[in-house]
Amino acid sequence: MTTNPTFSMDELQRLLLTDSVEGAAVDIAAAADTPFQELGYDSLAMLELVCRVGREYGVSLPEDAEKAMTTPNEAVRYIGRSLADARLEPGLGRTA
Amino acid sequence: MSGADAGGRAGEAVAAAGGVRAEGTVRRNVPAEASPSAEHPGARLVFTGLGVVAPTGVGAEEHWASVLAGRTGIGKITRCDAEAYPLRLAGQVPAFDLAAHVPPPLMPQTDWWTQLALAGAALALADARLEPAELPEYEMAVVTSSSSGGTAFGQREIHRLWSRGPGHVGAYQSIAWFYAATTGQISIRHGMRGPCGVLACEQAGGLDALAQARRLAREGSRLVVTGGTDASLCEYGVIAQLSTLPLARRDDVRRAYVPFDRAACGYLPGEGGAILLAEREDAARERGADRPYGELLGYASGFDPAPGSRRPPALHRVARNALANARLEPSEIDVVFADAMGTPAADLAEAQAISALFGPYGVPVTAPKTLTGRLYGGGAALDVATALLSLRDGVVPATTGPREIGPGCEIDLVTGSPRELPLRTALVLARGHGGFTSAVVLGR
Repeated sequence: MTTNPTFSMDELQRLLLTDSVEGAAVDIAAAADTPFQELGYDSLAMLELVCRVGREYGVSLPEDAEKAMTTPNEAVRYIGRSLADARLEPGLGRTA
Repeated sequence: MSGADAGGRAGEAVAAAGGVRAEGTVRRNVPAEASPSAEHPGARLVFTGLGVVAPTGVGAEEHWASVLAGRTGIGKITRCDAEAYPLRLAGQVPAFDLAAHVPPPLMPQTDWWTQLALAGAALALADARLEPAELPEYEMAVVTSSSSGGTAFGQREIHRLWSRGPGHVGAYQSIAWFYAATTGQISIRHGMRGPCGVLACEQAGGLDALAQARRLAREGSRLVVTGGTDASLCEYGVIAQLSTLPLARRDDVRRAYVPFDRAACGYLPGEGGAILLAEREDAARERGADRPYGELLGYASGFDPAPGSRRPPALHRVARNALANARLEPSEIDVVFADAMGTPAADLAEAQAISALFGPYGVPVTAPKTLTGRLYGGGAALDVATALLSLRDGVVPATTGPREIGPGCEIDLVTGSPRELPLRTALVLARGHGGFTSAVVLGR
């Protein structure tokens, strides 16, 4: 799946869910190299993902982050690298 | 925003049509609706698919069976904690397999009202055996009616804003609340890139959407996904309704919403509505859909005079103009689906408009909406779906609730049990809060 230990596909899956509908999401691990667009996630979904990373990890991704995250695998790598750069472990700074 | 632009154009078109009618003359050829650029100036609009999502059931047949049996969709409000409010009852859509109709990623992006419409659209397309992917994408249009927008979605995001801060407001709030969101999501979901718009005319909007659909068909769209839904039973939605609308506050499911009854005390709200597939008749026939439910024969709209004015309400004029638009005489109308506001004054005004047109007790009148509550943007669309089923089966469904007709209401209200009649035409009336008034004539 991914070689980056700091951010997993499971974490990405969780962030793409919202609490409005439990369990209703695409199994992204099964389509890790499929473009988000094809999976039904549009630019607002990517904006939402960037916001959630900010809320949960305290790391502000740059505005153009979504360009670097066109597939689930790319997103896992990109977010993992960003977290490592910020020298944060997953979960640190997460709000309750 | 393209959705807003499309909505604006639709609104202007309605306003223009209303202006012509406001002259008070009976126009027979609807010049306001025949655009100079019309490719199909006299095109007929037929209904080939019904997608009902209502308190009485999901799917046209389930709804129709409930209506004929007088099975109510009214119950204690469960969508939110209404215990502290003076409103306890509402019509709520029963549990159904939403995931069968709405793709998972769309769920957190959309309000419940839009989800209901997405389910309705899928049902309508399936009912019509229509595969959008096989048709030219720019000839498929979407026009829905919406009165509340995404209130439950908005309530949740506002709660996050106040309790946790701006960083916690979801990105989808930017579109999910918006009246045009349902139209946009249906358009995207089914690859329908033709003209799109939304009508926000409260309870009358479901009929105004059909008129706009007919205009678009005459301008070149082969089909229009239309109708509408509404869903505003969250705390915020209920409070907003309680403060401005004449809601019935009685706790008795059978006696709270009793239009035309001596004891009428307002109406109950509900959620849901109906999405209809409307097609240009020649386009429907071309793809083998040659047995539609019925046809839009006529439409008119108007607006009530300002409060305190001595001029009469718009309903009688609008109903008469809809008949003229259909080129039918009152004697050729077989059943009237009433607006049935449920307040003594509004009921009397409607009864008088009906008897002025048809004579006292001159036509069967029914209001199956007592089983669902008033559905706002979805209400008149559901009435149209019910009327089309009524025409199909030759049955006028009964109005449940009213027992003793109020003074001055000289109408033949069908109560008790359904009435079997050879039906060819139906008049559907709708009034929206603030003065919106519309009528359509349907034929089989």
